[in-house]
Amino acid sequence: MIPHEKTLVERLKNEPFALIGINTDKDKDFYHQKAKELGVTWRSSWQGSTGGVLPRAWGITSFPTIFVLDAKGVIRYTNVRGEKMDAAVNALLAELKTEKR
Amino acid sequence: MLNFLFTLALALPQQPPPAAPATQASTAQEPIPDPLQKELLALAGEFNTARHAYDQRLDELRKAGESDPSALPPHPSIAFWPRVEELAQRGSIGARLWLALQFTAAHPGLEGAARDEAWRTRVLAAVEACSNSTLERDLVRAFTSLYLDAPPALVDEALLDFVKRTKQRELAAEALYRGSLARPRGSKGLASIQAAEFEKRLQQDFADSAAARAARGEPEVGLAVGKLAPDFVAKDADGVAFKLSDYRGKVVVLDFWGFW
Repeated sequence: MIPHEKTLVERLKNEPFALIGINTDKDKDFYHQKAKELGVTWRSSWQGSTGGVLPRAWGITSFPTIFVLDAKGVIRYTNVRGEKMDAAVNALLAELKTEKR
Repeated sequence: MLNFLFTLALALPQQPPPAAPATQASTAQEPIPDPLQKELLALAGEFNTARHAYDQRLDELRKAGESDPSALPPHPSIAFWPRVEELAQRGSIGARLWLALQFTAAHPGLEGAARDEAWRTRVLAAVEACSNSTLERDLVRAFTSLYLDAPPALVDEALLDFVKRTKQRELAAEALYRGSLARPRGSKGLASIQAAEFEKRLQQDFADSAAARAARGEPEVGLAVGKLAPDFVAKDADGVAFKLSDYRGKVVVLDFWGFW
């Protein structure tokens, strides 16, 4: 999972794109150590548990749960992983470019 | 319609809407519950039964071709009025709302300026009682139905009074939105005199509210595909706070995950 996301972030570093991680590990030190080890460079918020404030507010019960948002903040895809995630992001970036033109 | 609202007001658990964005949770101040909730519910149940029987009787008469108004049975709110008023005097919030909503049905003989003045007193009393209580959401909903038959100046006044009193920004915004929508439609329905001002104020003072967004035709906030993702504030690994809305203009992948 992480290697794939790393590739995505790397590939799109000059595009209007961001990956935000909401981490639900219990142990903060374990999370920080693993994140460092695996090279999590993107913005990530440690919530302390799968029942943390944000997962609860969003009603997340299974993990990982993924939302892909367009530039307006509207949810466009949910639970796309791997290639599907790439395709979703590419489609939204293309849409954004057409709109700007 | 009014009766339905009353039923709704008492039957629904008084909670904020599900999956409320973080901005709403911040206006924490416990709403005041109705001190006579139990008695009120019992009375409301009784009233609803009477109202149902009344509606059925009207239907039968109409089918039988009865057109003489004096042949119609009296509206049940006439008989219930003293009992609900007694409850209101003992401090029931919901009872005050009922008195405002059922006022004309319970006083068929009253007309003109005298009626309007008495009605105004009832509506303003309901606003005072319901603001910052567990029934204020019901009051906001009631504005829409009040615009259907109460003098619009009266409802405008009550609505502005509510906006001034409430501590819930989202509800103040919703009230303004409902007022801005109160325009003549078809043969029934009166216009809010201040509809345009309400609309302006909504966008000026409550631009970030769900109601203002709805008025602008922006998608509703929610967690389904097609809805605007609820905004949140979180701290990143460096302890820096950020908002989801900081990322407007960018495509975002939001990933709830863990190593576990």
